[in-house]
Amino acid sequence: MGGCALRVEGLVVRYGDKVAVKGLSFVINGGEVYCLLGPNGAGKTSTIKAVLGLVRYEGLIDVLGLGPPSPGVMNSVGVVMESPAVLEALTPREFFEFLGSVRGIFNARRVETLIDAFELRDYLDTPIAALSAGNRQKVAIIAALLHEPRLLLLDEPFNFLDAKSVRVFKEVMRRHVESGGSILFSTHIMEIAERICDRVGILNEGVLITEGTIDEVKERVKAGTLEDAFLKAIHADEEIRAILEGL
Amino acid sequence: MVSARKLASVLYKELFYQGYFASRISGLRPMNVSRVVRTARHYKLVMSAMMGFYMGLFGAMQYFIFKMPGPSLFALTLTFSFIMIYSLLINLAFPLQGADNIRGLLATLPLEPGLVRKALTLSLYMTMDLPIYISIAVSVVLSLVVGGVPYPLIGALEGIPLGVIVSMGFILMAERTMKGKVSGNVVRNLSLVLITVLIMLMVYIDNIKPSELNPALSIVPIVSGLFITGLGIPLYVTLMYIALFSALAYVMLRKVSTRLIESIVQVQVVRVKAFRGFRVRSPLMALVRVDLVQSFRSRIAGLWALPISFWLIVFFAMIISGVKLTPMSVLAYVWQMSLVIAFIPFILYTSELRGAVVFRLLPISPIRNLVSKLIVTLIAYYVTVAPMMVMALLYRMPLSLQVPILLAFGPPMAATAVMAILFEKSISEGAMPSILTMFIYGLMVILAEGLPTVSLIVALVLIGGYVIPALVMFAVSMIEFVVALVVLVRLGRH
Repeated sequence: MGGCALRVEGLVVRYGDKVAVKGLSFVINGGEVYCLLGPNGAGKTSTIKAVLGLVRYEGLIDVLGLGPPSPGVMNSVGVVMESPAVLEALTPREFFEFLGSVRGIFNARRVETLIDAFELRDYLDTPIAALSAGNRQKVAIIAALLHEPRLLLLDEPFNFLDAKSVRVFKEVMRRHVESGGSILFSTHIMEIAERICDRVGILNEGVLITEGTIDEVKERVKAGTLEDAFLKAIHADEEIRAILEGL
Repeated sequence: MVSARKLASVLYKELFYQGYFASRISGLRPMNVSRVVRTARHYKLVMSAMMGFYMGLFGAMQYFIFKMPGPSLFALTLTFSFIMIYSLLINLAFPLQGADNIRGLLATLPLEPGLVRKALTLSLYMTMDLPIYISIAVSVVLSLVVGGVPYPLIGALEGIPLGVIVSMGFILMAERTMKGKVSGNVVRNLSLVLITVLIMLMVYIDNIKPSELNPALSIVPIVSGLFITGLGIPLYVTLMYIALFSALAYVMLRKVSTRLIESIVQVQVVRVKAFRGFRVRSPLMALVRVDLVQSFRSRIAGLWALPISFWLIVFFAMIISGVKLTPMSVLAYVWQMSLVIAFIPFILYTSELRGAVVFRLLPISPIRNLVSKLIVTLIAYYVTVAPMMVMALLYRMPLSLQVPILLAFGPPMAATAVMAILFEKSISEGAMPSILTMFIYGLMVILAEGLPTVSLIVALVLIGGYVIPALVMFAVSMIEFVVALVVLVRLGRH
């Protein structure tokens, strides 16, 4: 599928004196899953927050050719944050109703399907604050998919999910991409990235070390698996070997 | 082996941080976490110092300027000490129930249950140590200044254990109702309404002349302090109550510590209904609906009781005290009510801070968000003043009186726009403004309220009548509103 879903150029995100993202550039094409890989604190979440306009940033961000993040752009974007972005005072039913009204969705069939797919029906009238972490995550996922966005931004979306829901969500992601949608996906779990992503970008300390298809990245650092490639790229392989020898 | 005091100091820091941060969590991570931790620790000091200052100031004003009798100082220090303890502890009551991390950590450590309980009791005490010291210090100074029977000190000594008992009671209730949809909200709201009722009660007690009270009341808890004239039964009875309340406070503190360690929060089973689709079609109306639902379920929902409390005072003054209703008294009530209503946008925006990130991920501009808040505030205002409008008509007052009543919506309107700016600023700071920022925000809201009110008073004095002054107040409010709107648009969102 053609078209550019997300263009990021020279992105810098600062928290006071700390620079979390240092001049990051990448492009996600239509119908593509782009995975940001990196250790904790590499700048993955900060990048996603910048794309959403949740943090102040320098550089250029163009979402779906509509320009920088703005309330108008948000109707074409679906988001699953690392900590579920939900209104905890509401019940899932009230929350979905609110989202549907604000986003102008009046067909309940989609939400019904998603509620059943993620087995959330028994919790529709329980305040979100009282739900388990997994069920909260399911609420956040349904909220992100409700309006059939063209671009999905997923920051560690499988957190707290049971195996069944992980499988369902992976299938939903596959269908989303097949229909021309795009996904920016952030994780530090290599197995998932290897199975889902078309291209990966490896971030370390706010800097993009390397990017390309999984085979290209493996080839570039001469590694057999994505995990080895990742560890080599961030120069953690030697460090791990030393740690293991010391155990 | 770790000592109870050392463990308590660690627990105290975590409890206070949870109480301060968890209760205001917005879904956005604070931009400067270390500042948040610092702010959480300074919060106790700032709150206690501020309350202590006002306690001293009000006490001095009451005695030297208004020449109130000594027993009224007993009521003042009792209420202030109570509120000082209560407002700090109640802040912890609800987040504490969610602090499973503390419970989980303590359970996995090789510590004696007795030591953990002792440490938790100590850490709970540490959350209120400073307010206790400050309230005693201020009341001692007031007692020395006033001389004679130390009413302020006796009041503080009775208010402190009462504050502990009531807040511990709410912590226990919150623990039982945390996962209940309705009961949890009732407890939360009750805890906030209590402060409003207490302030009203303080105003009432301040105006009581002890000599006019029934002497039988001299053995009733709290009221007994008003009868102290020296050594005698009222003093002994009051001291007995202080000892009794202090013992009860200690027992409650121990009980809460035990429950905090042992409690396992149960999720309530609820009835499931079918998803009936999207009933509200207008995005704006959906926002209004969510504003109302969120604010009524938030920790500060009790502030909705302010307009009702105000009407209770008005009707109390009118019916019981026989105050005659004149056009000017109607307007005085309406203008005061207009200031009270200005709290509504504060409730709405503050409740929204918790889910702020959701609003930023939706196609909702700050202006549309403001319009939603304005609609709620406007409805609240007109519903509240409607009885006054009807009464003015029933009393055959001039029809022109309706104009200033309709226009008194100006100050709440300006306050709503100012709150919108503060909200957007808070969000850009990670929804965790510093104490200084909050102080500046507070000043801005007071200014937003104060300027139209001052212009009204000036116009009342210079021009007279009520229609023109009301128009002047409305015009000043509108100027403020437009300026705030421009700032809000400039602030933008992204």
